[in-house]
Amino acid sequence: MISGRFDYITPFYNQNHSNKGFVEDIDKLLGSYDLNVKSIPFTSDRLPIEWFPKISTKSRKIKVLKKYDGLQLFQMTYNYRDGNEEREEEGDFFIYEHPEYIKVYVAITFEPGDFFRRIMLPFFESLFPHIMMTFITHKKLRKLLENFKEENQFSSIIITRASQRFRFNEEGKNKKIVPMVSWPQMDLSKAFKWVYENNGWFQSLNFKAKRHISTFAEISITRQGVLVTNNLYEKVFKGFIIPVCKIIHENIEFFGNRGRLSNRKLSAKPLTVDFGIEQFADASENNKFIQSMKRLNKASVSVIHGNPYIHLSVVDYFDGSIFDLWVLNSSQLFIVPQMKASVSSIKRIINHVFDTYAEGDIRDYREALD
Amino acid sequence: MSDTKEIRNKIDDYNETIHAIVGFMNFFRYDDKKKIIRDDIVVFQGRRFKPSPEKSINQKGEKVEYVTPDIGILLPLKSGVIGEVKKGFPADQKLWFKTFKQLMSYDDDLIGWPSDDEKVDSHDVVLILHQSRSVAVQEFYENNKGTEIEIKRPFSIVEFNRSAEAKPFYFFRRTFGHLSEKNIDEQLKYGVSVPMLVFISLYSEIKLYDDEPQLPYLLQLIWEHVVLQKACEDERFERLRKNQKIKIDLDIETIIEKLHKGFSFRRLYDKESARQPKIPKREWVIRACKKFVELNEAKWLDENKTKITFYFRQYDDVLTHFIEHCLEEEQEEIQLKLFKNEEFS
Repeated sequence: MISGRFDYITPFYNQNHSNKGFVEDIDKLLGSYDLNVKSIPFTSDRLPIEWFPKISTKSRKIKVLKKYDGLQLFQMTYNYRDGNEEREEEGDFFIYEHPEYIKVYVAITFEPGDFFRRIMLPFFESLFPHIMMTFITHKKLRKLLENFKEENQFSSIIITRASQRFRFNEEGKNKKIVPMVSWPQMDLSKAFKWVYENNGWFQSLNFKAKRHISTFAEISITRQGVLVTNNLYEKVFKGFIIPVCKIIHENIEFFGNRGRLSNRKLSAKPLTVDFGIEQFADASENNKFIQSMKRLNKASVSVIHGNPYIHLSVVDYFDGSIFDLWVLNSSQLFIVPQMKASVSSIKRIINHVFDTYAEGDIRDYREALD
Repeated sequence: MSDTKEIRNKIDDYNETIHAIVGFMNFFRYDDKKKIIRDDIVVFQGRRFKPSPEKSINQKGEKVEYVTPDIGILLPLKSGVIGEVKKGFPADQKLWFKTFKQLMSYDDDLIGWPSDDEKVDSHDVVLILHQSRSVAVQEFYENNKGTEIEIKRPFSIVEFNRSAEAKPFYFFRRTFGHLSEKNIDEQLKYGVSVPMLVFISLYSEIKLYDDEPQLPYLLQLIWEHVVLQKACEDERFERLRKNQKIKIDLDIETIIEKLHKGFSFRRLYDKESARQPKIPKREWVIRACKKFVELNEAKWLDENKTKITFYFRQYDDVLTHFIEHCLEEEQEEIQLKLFKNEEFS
């Protein structure tokens, strides 16, 4: 029983499912009842069904309730103190195995927002670097929304709530990205233009998919690919979750085996972030970039050379990955993975650059040279 | 100039020398027409050559076991190039003779080329130096040629310079003599600009050559690429806090091996050879480890100083950490000496 409401979910949990018709099953459920479903696309280097029950702690216990083909139902119990009172919260979630992309999963739950935000999502985030979500670039997010609108013939996508961050524009060690929440009630193009002009990006967007005056779904999406919707799950799955799973899969493929130890000759396999504009046209930009890299948490950032070109040595203390970062022209950043360079670490470095400095297109160095 | 800045400049000079070596070697390695790296060219750095009997005794009457040019290139048809690379020349010109004596020692039927019989039929001798000194050094050579300095083999001077532009490049120009490889000599006659971004892989892979780097830089390389790489195998690594440490046991040979395989010119010449000494040299690594011990970052595990325990911690900026701590320690030593002198004066 979901507190205060009639329990539509337990019968759903008790049905037999498989990952084949599961999305359709959810779609039907949402269409019939006033519910919303939350989805977290992620990759894991360990099998959730084997791993999750083993990482139970004193305050958090996870057990497998049901196993289906490519789908499992888990239950998480969380104990905490609220003043003098011991409290317990419990919630269930499915892990959907992507049928095509190996190691790519979607965690799906109908639990209330409070459980999702305070317990379930932090649990997944705490498992980094073994579990990794993704990041959706500003450009990609806009494209996903536009495609969603077009393919489903909505007359408008109205952004009802936006959480955005603004990258700092001035030099200085202590300048941070500025978080901001707004309720712009803007259409897509205006909202994206506004945030781009202010050197920012959306951390999350809540929007209504409308056909004229009718609202068909209220959806939210975060930069990490976390989706919440109250309707049209099949369309949302196709329009957002599958593309996000694809991004995760492509990240694994593209960022995988980049460490020098992955080849006998110990050759480096650099990556390029192409900013597309003369990002480093001004010499003061070097310092801005260095300061933004120095804000990378759980890392060492050593400046080997700072001007006129940039050469940094970056150590990721999450797993010991190391990179040489170079800026050798005005529009590109070169990332050279050293002996160890995990997918999660490469993604973390690039994500940090995109969040705190500027977004760009990621390419293989050799391809970028051509 | 502050001490920190001076150390950073010396580290930069060290890297600039590596970049110059890589850049010069590449004129021979890279086939400009086919746009590929030639597999019939062998390049090497810091290789030990045995002098001929005539040159195996130096002017002081001492036996010369071997000579080690900074740069070596073995070309098809048994010819080659060897030379020295100098970022800086001292102000006192008398000291320049040392470099030219080295170059003269390469003007010899050296044994040790990576060919079947370890010999070549002919080779060039080249001095690659920073543009800031090239005119003065050329004049010095010409003034002393035939008297103090005598090089019979084809000898040339090639200057280099790193541009201070947003798209940095190394500029190379032959300013004196000729290289026997005609096409390369022709290219270098008017100067060639080599964009740095072409070599970012090699610049990232090669961090050491056969000259000892600044101590804080070597400490950083050992800490990041050897100590940390072992620390991250420890299950505590992932959850390590800044005020916590992990003990990491290593032996000196492992440190040398890891840096040699991963960050020396072995990257370009990976055949094991007794003539190709391991870089970093053992004595540099011992010195670095002694410094780790002095800085309380490590302790020796045996009297022979073959094994060492590091206390791995997370630093926000590993290079700055070691520069500052080396300088602090030097300051303390100076103060201690002053204190002792005052005490006993």
